[in-house]
Amino acid sequence: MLHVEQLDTAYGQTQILRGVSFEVGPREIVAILGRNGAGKTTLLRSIMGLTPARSGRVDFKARDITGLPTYEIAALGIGYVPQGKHIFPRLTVAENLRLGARLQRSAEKVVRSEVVAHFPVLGERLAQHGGTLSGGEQQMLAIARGLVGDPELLILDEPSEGLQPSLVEAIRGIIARVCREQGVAVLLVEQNLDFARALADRYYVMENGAIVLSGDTRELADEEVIRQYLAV
Amino acid sequence: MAEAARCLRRATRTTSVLELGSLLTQFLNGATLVSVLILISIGLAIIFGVMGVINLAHGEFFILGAYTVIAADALGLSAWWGIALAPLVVGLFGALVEVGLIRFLYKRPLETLLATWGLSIVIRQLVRIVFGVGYRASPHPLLGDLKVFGFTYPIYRVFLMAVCLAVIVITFYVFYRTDFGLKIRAITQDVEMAAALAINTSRVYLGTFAFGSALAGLAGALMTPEITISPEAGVNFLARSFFVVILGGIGQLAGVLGGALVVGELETFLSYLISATTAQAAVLLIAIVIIRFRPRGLFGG
Repeated sequence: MLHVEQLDTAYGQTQILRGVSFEVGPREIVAILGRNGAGKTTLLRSIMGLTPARSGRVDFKARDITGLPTYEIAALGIGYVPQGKHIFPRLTVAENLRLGARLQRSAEKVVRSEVVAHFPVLGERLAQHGGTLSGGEQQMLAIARGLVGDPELLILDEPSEGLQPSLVEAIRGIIARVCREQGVAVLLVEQNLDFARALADRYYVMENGAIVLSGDTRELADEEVIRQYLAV
Repeated sequence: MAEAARCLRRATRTTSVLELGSLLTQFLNGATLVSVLILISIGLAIIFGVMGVINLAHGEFFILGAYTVIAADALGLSAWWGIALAPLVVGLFGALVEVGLIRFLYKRPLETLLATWGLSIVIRQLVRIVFGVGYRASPHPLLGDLKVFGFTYPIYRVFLMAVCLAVIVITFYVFYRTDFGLKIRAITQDVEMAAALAINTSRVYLGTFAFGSALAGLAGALMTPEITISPEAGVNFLARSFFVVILGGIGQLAGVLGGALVVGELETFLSYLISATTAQAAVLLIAIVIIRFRPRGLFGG
């Protein structure tokens, strides 16, 4: 479904991604792991066309999307939940969700959709401005907004960051349920190893802008690997 | 003796009625300026809020609207046609400018500033070449006064304020009640996220720039009978619109209304008391003082 090949990205003179290749199959949940500064967020931004790659190629649904403007990439069926949530603070929850649904449906239909039903806390806050929600509610909104447009691929950048453990657990449960139910593939960037392990089918580990390791998350228990690439 | 006192009393009463009348006149003159300033400043503010572009040619878009009325007159069309055509002509011109110039300068504020400044010079020169250097008399679409309870006011200005009010209401409706407005507000708050939600940002930019230009053009067309039209007439209005936007607080439509109210009424009342030029300088001074104490504008959070 998503196929990334030899991606190189740089900010000015600083090379961030070095020949990154990986793929996400249909309905698959794939985690990208790695320490701060490994290039995980840049990788997602390059896929979305927000930080254009210098060379390499990204295919989505067998179509070359390298170099397309972000809005065209998103329109092909990718939901993006960036690090730091990036909900619109001075738009209402309902307006945020309508934008997630690409303005294709009326506010009432979006609010009553199956996806939003998984986030009951949002249903009580529809008329409230996004900026007035708590951190956890904002993350719920960001994820709901990413899913309500019925994407075939959901890209999540550190969804557990800064949330209290009970919320992390709740969010993991919702993502797992909705994505399995709707058949959405997920590309997940995480530093929270337990979160990634509980959610993902496969993983890739990044270090210094390159993928150094990959495998099945069920086999990701090797203390040596964790210490070498992931422990702070 | 009693006769004299009665005379005096009547005289006083007349004076106070006169003063009340002239106060009302000044207020309405101010309101005329306020409504035109809102029209110009909304365009300036939206274009800045959405695209990050400070359009130094915005004053020239205003005079292009005025010259549309003059051109329509030269072609034998009435001033009404001129006023109706101006927003279309200037909006289309704005769209061409966006596609041919602004589009290449997104995220480069300094270059945009220089480019639009250069554009303003080009437009002024073109106007000089086409319409000549001096002042232009323009056709007056609606002479006559409106009389209410012995108070008279030029009927055209009432019309002008009504049109501005209608356009302002429409603008707020578009901004807060339509999908296009929702896209505009989303882009203003977080452009990358808006693009990641499949909003075609360059199309919204084009629409915004054309819309803002059209409002400036309409303002210019409406003002043709009220001001002396020359190629330089836009500069003055650009400067005032800057006061309005900065004073009102950047990034809020409602701030524009408040800013225009302060600038327009203040200038009108001051020029009633002192010379017009001194009044404008005083308004600038007052604006600077206000900004010193409220850096985010009168209505900025």
